Amino acid sequence: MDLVMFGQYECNGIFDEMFADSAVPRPHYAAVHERICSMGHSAFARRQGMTDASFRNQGITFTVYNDNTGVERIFPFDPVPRIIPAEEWARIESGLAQRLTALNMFCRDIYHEQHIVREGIIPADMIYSAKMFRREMLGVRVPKDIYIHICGTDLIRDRAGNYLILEDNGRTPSGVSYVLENRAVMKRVFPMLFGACRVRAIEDYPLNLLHTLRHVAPRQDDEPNIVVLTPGIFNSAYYEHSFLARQMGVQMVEGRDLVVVDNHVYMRTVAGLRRVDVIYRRVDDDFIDPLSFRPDSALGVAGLMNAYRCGNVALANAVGTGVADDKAIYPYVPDMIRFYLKQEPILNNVPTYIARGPMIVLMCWSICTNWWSKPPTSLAVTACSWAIRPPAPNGPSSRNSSAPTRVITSPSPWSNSVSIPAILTGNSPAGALICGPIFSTAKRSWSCPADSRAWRSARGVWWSIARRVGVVKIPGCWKPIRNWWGVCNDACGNQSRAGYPCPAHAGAGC
Amino acid sequence: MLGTHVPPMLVRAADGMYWMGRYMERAEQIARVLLEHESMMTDVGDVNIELQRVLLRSLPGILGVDLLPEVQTFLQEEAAQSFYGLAQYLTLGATNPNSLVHSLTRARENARGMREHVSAEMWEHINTLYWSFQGTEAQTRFEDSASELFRATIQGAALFHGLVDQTMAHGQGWIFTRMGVLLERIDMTCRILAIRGRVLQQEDANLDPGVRNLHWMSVLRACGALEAYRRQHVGDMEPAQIVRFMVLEPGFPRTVAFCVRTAYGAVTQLRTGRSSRQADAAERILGRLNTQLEYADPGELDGADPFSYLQDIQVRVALAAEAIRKAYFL
Repeated sequence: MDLVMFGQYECNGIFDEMFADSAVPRPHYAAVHERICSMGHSAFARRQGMTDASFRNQGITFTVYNDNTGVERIFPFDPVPRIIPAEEWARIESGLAQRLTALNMFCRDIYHEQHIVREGIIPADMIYSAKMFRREMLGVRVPKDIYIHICGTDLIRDRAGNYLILEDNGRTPSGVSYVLENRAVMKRVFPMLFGACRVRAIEDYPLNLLHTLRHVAPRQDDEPNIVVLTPGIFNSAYYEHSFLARQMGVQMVEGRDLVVVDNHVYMRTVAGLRRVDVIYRRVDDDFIDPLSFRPDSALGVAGLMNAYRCGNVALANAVGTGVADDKAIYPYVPDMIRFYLKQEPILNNVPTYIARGPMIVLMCWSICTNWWSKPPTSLAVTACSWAIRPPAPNGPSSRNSSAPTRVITSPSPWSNSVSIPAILTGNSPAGALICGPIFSTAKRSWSCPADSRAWRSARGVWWSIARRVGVVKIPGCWKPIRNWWGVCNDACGNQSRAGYPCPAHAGAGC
Repeated sequence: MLGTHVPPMLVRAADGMYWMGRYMERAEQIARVLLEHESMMTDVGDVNIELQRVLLRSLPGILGVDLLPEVQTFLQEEAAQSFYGLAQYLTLGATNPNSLVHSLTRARENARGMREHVSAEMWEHINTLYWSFQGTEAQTRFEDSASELFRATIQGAALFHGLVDQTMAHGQGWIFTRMGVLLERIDMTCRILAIRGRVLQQEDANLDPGVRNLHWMSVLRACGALEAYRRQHVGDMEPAQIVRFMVLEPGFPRTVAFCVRTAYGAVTQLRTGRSSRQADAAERILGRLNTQLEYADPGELDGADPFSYLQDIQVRVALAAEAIRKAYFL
């Protein structure tokens, strides 16, 4: 039986979630391993078909852009769970809370006194050149001094199995509805796997989110009117927006449903205008107010920023949090934790080097051609892709006009990643990531246990990988690692056919 | 009385609920008309070829699509001259903006736009129904058995109505959905009676009594009212009585009088939700129509042309729909 289920599976020398070596499962996987093996191949495949039908009928989909055949797709779903033992999770949770607290203090600081710049911890040009730094927010008091209410943090394991932080998504992270729905479907279709271990419940997420939003309401005396602001049904994460609105029991609105009168925000109802206190917005900064940001935005609400500055409405997340999840700021986060909290980081960054100046870039490139690079969201995008791209076969690259100022390179997630069994579907990419959605209030931060199949459910995370593969094409970089074949084939060459989102449009805020 | 603790609906959501109901009803009515036409054609299709041709040509008019330029282009084509060619176009036609599949798609898109107002069961049902009509599958199903496809739609709509009544709070969202269903039903019922009735009346002299019975039974079936009518009126089909029944009978949920009365009740409830003392335009129009039908002299409909009476109802219902749009959706 064992041979049928896992006989073809090899760990290939990198960290594997389920197997300590090719045949022996890790202790916390033993029970699940046994139940999967006893199920047999055909029973497993049949149940997997049930999950797919269930996702489609419930409309748990994401939107594929630039595809004429149909815009909604279900997520590929791998029923093999990712199990995180309790003590490991406790460490992750405290590490995430610590990191988020520091990021919030950083945002507060950057838009007010800027101690961290004055102390020389972060160079000023790194802040001011960040694309998501919002001058409009300088000196603005946000409710309870919370900027990042909801954060999607991407985790990764290194070769030894240690958890590292790959990136923070502090603007409008998405993906949590898939965590919740996946769990619901999983419970229905594979109840026997849950019997094997005591899995922590995640269903209180919407309630926690509601408490977080209530906490920042400007009017505390009355029941605050909370809304979820969505870009509309054509947004790829639309399902999630409506899901969260329903689960919290609040209204979901589009920009055209809101108006600003005398610096107060109202929504247009059949009984006239009604005041809005808290907006959980899933629209990017750029589009949120055509008077302050992009004037061509049809998704936003004219005058919203003024109402926000007056303190008449709370936004979650705050405007301008993009400065904290900028790729150029990322290497400084451990320093932030030391600076603001006087603590050592519990979870570390992926080793990252800040390359400033063309010579260092070239050196980096020559040393680590198999390293992976992601352009910072700041100025150096074209320079970066020039610096990292291997010379074109027909001659020297023509895109060398602007000398790179800085490039962030970090070791390839592929060479460092872990794998989990992907034998059952054939095309399931192995994953490495975990998403613990985090809440914060002034008093404390806490996080929600990630789904047991985190790489799958942490949608933002998965997409950000797909996007990277699509953007930085370094042939030969990932091929040697067998378990990542699925990722490359699907995300790189055949996005639309394989059903993954177009990298240019995927997860606008991720 | 509407719950005072429930916040009023968004304008956009109210609009969506209304159109969800309307499109679902439209899909059902298209299915009923085509299903019934197919069955009638099997029975008496070869008796009077000329009449059959006229009836076939009246189909786009009954479904209210005959004036659309896209549809008119299609009607010139060869495929439009046979029932299955035309039925396929009215069911699946890509250029027909009011096809059955298109109506289902629109109903589902509207539901999708306000998921927080639509119950999970409703949404899952609408979504499943929608997916069962997508892609080449629908085409295959149509070619396999068109009537099965129509029956599935009618059953799907029945389940939809049941879920609307049983899984949603009977608040504003429910009222708007009901309004959409009712106004669409009145409109379609009037058109079936008026267009079919007129054709049959013109041909009346040439019809064998047996064939005439079959034709009028098919009119009642298209309105979904044959059994209810039979229970009240035994014997041969009597055109004037059929029209009277379909317009004035207060106790059957597919008649005009019933729908107008329910729609009027719904629109007055909306007013209390809006906390306005003044009756709005829709309420006035529906109220007057309701009174007219409630106190109608049965002889009113027996004149030389009962069909202009039906057209008058249609116009006033369209005005009411416009008034609702202006009052609540803008």
